[in-house]
Amino acid sequence: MTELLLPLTAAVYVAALWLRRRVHTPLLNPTLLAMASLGGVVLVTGVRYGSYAQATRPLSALLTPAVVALAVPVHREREILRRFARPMLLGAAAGAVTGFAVGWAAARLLDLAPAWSVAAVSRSATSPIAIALAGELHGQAALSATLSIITGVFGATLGPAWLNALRVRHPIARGLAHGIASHGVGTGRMVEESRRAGAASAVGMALGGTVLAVALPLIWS
Amino acid sequence: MTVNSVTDSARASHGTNGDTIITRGRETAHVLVAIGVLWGFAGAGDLVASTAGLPVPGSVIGTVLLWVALETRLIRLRWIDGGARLLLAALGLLFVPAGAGFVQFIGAGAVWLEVGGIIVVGSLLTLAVTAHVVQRGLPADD
Repeated sequence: MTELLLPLTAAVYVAALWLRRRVHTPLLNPTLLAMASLGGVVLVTGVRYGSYAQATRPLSALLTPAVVALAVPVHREREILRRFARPMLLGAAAGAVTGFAVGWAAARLLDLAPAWSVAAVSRSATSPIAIALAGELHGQAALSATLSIITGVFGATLGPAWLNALRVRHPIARGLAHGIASHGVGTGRMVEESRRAGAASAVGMALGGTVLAVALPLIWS
Repeated sequence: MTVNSVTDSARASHGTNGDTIITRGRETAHVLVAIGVLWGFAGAGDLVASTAGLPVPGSVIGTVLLWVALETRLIRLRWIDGGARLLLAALGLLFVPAGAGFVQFIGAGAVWLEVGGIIVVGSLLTLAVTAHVVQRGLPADD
């Protein structure tokens, strides 16, 4: 029976993609929808989450090479990175520190449990990096992945209007900000705005995630 | 890459079905090799992390190593581009199983509200700070 869980996961994701093409709103994020549906399946059928995770292990294992693949967009967009190196690196550093500081301070102030603190601090990183960090910092991979995806969906949904209100118009500024604050989901949204915004966002996602993944384990303890 | 796909499609339209299958087979093999190379970099990252005693995820060190290898042309983009594109395009599917694990925390209660607040405030501030720093530092001619 559990052999069917992997194809079921893929089928639910395909259905979510199909639905997104019909109903055009960033609220309907295919990953979030698939997560919620499959979580529902696990709850309703009484399959233990451990068995589900075991059955879908081939998908999760591919997250490792997928993180490494983040180097490719940074290399491919090297012209943009070269031309805007200073503002992009400064912006990425400032944004990553802000995102981290808010999570860190709030987790301390609210006295969150360790797994929640790790997830709150790594929320701006793309999910595969958040999952890798959870393994490193004794967090919970599922919790970190969930908060990361919710953060991405939130930023991709309200981010563009928020930056309009702040009168940020330059595609490099808009793109990088979304890549840092809302990783892959925000990047998907920026690709719709323009090629440059999408490229800057991809670079921001890779930079922000890498900086956090290198810095966080060193200062965490 | 473009040259390759042009010749591939020419072959596909002129050749027999057998040729198409062979071409597809080669593309698939290429993608699998590329994923293997990416995995190799993650392994190298693991090795660096354990040797240097760094608590950083090996895959992230692998990302930095691959970027350096691409910039120094030790690794050519065309060798891994197909596999990398496939993985990044499928990223949304790949983390569904991990994400579905939220069911283990569904009864956590009020902490969800607190974390929701962190996400809202944190995201809006991060967007604003990043965008402003970038915009202030842009070259004058842009």
